[in-house]
Amino acid sequence: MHLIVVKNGPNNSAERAKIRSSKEGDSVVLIQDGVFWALNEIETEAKCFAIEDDVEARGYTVDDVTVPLISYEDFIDIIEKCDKSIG
Amino acid sequence: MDKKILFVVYQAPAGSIWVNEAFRTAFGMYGEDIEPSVLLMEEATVALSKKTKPECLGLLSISMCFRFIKRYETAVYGVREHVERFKVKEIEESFNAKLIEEADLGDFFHEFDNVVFM
Repeated sequence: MHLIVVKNGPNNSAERAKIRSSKEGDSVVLIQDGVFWALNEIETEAKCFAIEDDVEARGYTVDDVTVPLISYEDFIDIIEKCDKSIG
Repeated sequence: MDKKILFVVYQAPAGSIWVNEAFRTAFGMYGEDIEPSVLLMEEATVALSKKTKPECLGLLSISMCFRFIKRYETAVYGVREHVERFKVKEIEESFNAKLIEEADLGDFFHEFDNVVFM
């Protein structure tokens, strides 16, 4: 079970590689500009989340994004749960 | 058991420091319980080429890494489709690089404890 942290948008080749490599059982967390991925459906079987503050800071609301929003505290809980990471 | 860490470089060797930094970081991990590997993908793929010489721009050379790669037997990987896309005709044998298929990147990343993109 890997935690996958995405901090750049869809035009970044590294982030595309991360999203493509995500599998069922992984947790993908979109932080910073990574939240731009959430403007569209994300093709993955992994659970995806976006950081609420980063979404709001970029002028969006929960209705604009396709993934659940979480707080930084929730993000820390996910970090502690996952022993492996791709980031 | 050693922790397996993969450093993934995706930016070009001329104009960014990341190829050298990945190897420098990897070499610094020997002596810990860590088994580092390096993957060069996307624009970083050109670092595998025999002809790539950032030093001609006054930048750090990549060849300074070769004797450490040999000494530590650091595993170096490239992506076959990216080697073709960036027209790397001759791969520098000092890397002893193994090429993996782009479709296998997902499974490959999941073989490691930590994958660090830099």
